[in-house]
Amino acid sequence: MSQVEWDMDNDAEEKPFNMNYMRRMFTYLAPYRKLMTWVVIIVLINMLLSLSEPIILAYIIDKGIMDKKYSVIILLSSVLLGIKLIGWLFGWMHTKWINFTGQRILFDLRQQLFNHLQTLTFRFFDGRPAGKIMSRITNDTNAIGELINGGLITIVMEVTHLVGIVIILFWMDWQLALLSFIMLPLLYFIVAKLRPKIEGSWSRSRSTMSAINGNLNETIQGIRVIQAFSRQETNNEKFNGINNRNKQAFMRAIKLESMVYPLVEMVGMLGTCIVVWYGAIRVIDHAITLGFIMAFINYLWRFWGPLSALSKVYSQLLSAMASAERIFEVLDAEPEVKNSVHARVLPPIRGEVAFDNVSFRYEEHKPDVLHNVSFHVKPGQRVALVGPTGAGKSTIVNLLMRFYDSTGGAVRIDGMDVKEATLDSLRKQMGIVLQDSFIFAGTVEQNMRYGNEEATEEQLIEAGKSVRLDQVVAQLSDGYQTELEERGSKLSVGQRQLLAFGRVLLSDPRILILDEATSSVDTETEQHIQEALQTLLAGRTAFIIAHRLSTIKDADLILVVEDGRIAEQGSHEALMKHGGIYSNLVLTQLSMQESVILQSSS
Amino acid sequence: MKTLLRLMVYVKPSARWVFIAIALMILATILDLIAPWVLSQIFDEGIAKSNMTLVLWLVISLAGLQALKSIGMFIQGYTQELVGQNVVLQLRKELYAHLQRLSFSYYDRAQTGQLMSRMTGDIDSVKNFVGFGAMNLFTGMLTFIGTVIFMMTMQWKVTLISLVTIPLILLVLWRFNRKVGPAWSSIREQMGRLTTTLQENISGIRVVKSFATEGVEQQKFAERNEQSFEMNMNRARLEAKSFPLMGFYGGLTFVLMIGIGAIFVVRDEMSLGTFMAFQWYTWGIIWPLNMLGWQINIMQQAIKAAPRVFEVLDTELDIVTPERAAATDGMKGNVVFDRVSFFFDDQDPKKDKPILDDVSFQVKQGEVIGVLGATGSGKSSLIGLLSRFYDVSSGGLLIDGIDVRQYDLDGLRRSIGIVPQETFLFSASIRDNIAYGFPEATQEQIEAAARKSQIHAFIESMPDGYDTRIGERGVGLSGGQRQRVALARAILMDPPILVLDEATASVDTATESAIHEALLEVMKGRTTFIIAQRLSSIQHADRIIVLERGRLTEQGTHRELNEGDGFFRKLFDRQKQIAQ
Repeated sequence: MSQVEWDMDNDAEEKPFNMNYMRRMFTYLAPYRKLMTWVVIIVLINMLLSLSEPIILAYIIDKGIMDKKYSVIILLSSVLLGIKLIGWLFGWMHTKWINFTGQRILFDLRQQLFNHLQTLTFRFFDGRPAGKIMSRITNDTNAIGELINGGLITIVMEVTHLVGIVIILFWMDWQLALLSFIMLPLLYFIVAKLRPKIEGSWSRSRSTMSAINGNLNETIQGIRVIQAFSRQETNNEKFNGINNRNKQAFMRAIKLESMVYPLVEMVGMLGTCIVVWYGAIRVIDHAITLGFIMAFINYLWRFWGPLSALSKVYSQLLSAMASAERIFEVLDAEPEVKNSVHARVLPPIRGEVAFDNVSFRYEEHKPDVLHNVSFHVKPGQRVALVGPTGAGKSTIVNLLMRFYDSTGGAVRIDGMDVKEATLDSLRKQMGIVLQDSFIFAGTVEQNMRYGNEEATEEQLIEAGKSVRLDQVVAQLSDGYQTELEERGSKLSVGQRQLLAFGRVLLSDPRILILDEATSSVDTETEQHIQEALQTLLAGRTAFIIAHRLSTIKDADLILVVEDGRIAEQGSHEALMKHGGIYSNLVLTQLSMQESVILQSSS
Repeated sequence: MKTLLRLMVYVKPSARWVFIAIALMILATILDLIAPWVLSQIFDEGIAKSNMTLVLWLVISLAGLQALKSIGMFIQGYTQELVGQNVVLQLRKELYAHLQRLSFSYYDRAQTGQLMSRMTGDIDSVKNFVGFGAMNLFTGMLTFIGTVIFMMTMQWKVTLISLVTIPLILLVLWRFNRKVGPAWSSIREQMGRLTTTLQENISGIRVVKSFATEGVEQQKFAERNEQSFEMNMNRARLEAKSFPLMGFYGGLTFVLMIGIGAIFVVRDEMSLGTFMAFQWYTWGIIWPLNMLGWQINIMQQAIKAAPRVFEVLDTELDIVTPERAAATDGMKGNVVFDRVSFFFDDQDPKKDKPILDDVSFQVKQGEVIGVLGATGSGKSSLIGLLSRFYDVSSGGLLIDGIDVRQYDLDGLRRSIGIVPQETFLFSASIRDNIAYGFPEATQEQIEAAARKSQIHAFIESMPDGYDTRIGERGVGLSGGQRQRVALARAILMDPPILVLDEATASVDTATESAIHEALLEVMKGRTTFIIAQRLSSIQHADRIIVLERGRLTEQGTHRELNEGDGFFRKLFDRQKQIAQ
């Protein structure tokens, strides 16, 4: 695991603008280009109509008012009314379409992120708190959605507006036009100076938000420990720190952002002032008329409005860019375990499992956790993995499930390297009951059917009986239909283990893996399950990780794992005769029981 | 309205900033109204009369006005967000502190995703309104009224005629306001559900992968995502119906003003200059009304989001420190269960079987008590009552002769060191995890606790030792290692009462034996409860109690129970049988 926490708020102060992210963001528009083309056309027409208003107005003044012709006034007013009516219709269309596009892209982004998360390996999740991952799917995608919803339409509208006005200004008087744009380089200079700072500060604001999310999720998940240890005060302090940092980061971004808009207006006004002053000289020199300069300033005024609006979109864009980077980082995380190009569907498993000199390390530069592990399991055998905690027992079964890929050697099922099988066909045929029994919110039945939707009612009840879940369910108010809350908090840990066990049995796996599946279940229930498994799993291979002797003893093959190596393997009898680690282990356990016996009967 | 009033309470500490922001907004509005007038003076007094010095002065004052406005706008933009952020900060702080105090019964029902979405999305919606929305609403109205007054003084007839569309706009606004509220309400709800689905998926990713149900999960998320899309489109349709219509009515005002204005000019009832000025001012009427639509949108969003936040804040804490609480210093650890019965909140005491049924027993200071019983017999609930994670439904639970409900809650819980069944470790260094209940602990103390739980050597073998970061659910460590870190965490607290709730279920027998040897010394003088399935785990117990379906059926020493014919004897026989 890396020593640097993911998503800490120590991002760089300034960010270089990443054109690739920008381009990538626009690729999400591609599927909607037809609709967007219509939107652009509508907006363009709308813009042209609105630009024609001053001209119509000029006609009203010149031909209507000056010549005192009511008919002209009424006719041209009707034309204006018509323009407004068309504007209404167009407004209705583009509001709907742009919202559709924006929301659809939000949908696409979220779904793509979610789907991608499903392909990522445990290693990705190991180092990243769930809350922080969530923050990217909910908060960060929103920033991009907002840009499209609010920003895109403004860009199209205002840019066309700008272009139109610039053309008109140059057409009217190119010298005056040039003069009015004299301040533009200054604006460019200021914005170029501010941009990296703004983007950096947004990026920082986003990661502090993510830190809040991460902390919050952990607090809720760990609330039982927090209360047990009365950590509330310390946690409040810690949270306040994160909370304050988020506020500071946000306010810094706002401070920079709030500068842009007033600056644009200021520069605009300076340009106008120059034009007014120079224009006044020209008018006094009778080079141009008063009406002309009034119209010119009228248009110029309209030039700075869109620019201010664009400056707001610009801030939105920078904020979305900060989010895009975070989203693409997740999307670019390569799944470490994936179907190889020529992956084949694994045929129905007979149950032969071979580990051939398998070694494994979690990361490139980390030491091996498994060294040359080799063993061979015949179909239908029951294999017990024993050894001290942290010896690598779980790692071995994780490689079998292909939760990780081995770094050396090969894992074979029925002679086929698991790396050549498709993940789906492999995992669908295997069942693993994990140490940590995760229960989904939903009914008991829904949880049971999680791996096998099509199971019949009988199968469901049968599986429930074999793990004694029937007795648990009998005590619940609505039986199998009882709604379980998140993580199954209504059930005790042992009961949850039974449910997780039943869930796997119902999925009818060809190979069953029990990773300390019954550690919190009482011995009697456990024995019952063992007996039920005899018939249920007849002819199927099973791997069992356990500490209780009762669970291990009857296994066909016992693998003693120590320091990532198979130290001993064989049957109970053979190993006991051998007198190595295993027999020691058994003897300790026996002597402990012995002492209990002594205590009880002396 | 009640929601808005309650929000005001959070704005109050920032009243100063609100005042500054509003004052600056008014200033900017006034400057906006003056600028066209200055411009008209340039034409009428300056250019028309060829007075270049006046033109120059007016141009400079125009630039000066804008400079003032720009500075004002910057400060205003900053302060309005500051107000919003102050409210967010306070709301988050309160919510977080409250969440930490809510009892287990609340969390038995609550969904993490829902809580998180309230803490982030809903609070954000509130912020948007408090900072940006409310103030813009205010200035918008101010601009509107100011402009109308300006125009009325210039030409009241044309103004009045042009304003005939205003009631129509207000009608559209009123209808939009009524409909968009419920739309936002369902969007916020849906967002909570989406977050829940997401949260569950990420937390349960191991199960998802082992069943290869990624496809099913994608389908599930796609459904929620699609619903979220639909809800948003509903809102968008409302916007599409209202906003362009309002734009049209606004445009109508503009057209009327030009048409009627032109006729008035022809009739010489209005000057051409006023006619021109009216064009400037029309925007002062249309802009605020158009903006009003958006502001209402933001307001409704906040009105629907805020109650979701308040709902959590208003959830009453049912387990709290009583007034005049007993101190827990020097607690000895004499525990008495006196006819204790316990039901969960959602159980009906008349119909359902109790989780604990009339349980009575006594434990003296320093005693080690083994608790045995089948899965679901109520062993963990016993401990839950002791630490007041839940309160007893009837009967009494005393420590040192004082009912646990009389103690200071934090003190009580600090006096009981629990190693829970399911190990939850925090994403922090191993050191921080061990020192979780006692952050001031020295390195020596931490190492001593780690040694006693047989994890020190392992930690030392890691490249970063005690500074090694571990993940949220302690991933990166094996189940047994996680349990031992949790054990060290409890030992470091040095509590008078120690509870091991199947604390060594995932630890191999040899290590378990070593842990118990080390614990012998730790348990000295402490009252210890050991909940276990293996007899070997309770070999050092002075006394054993057996729970069956919530009832205490046997208690006594190993020998006494062995002589009986109950649960213990059966378990004992079974394990002896295996041993032979």
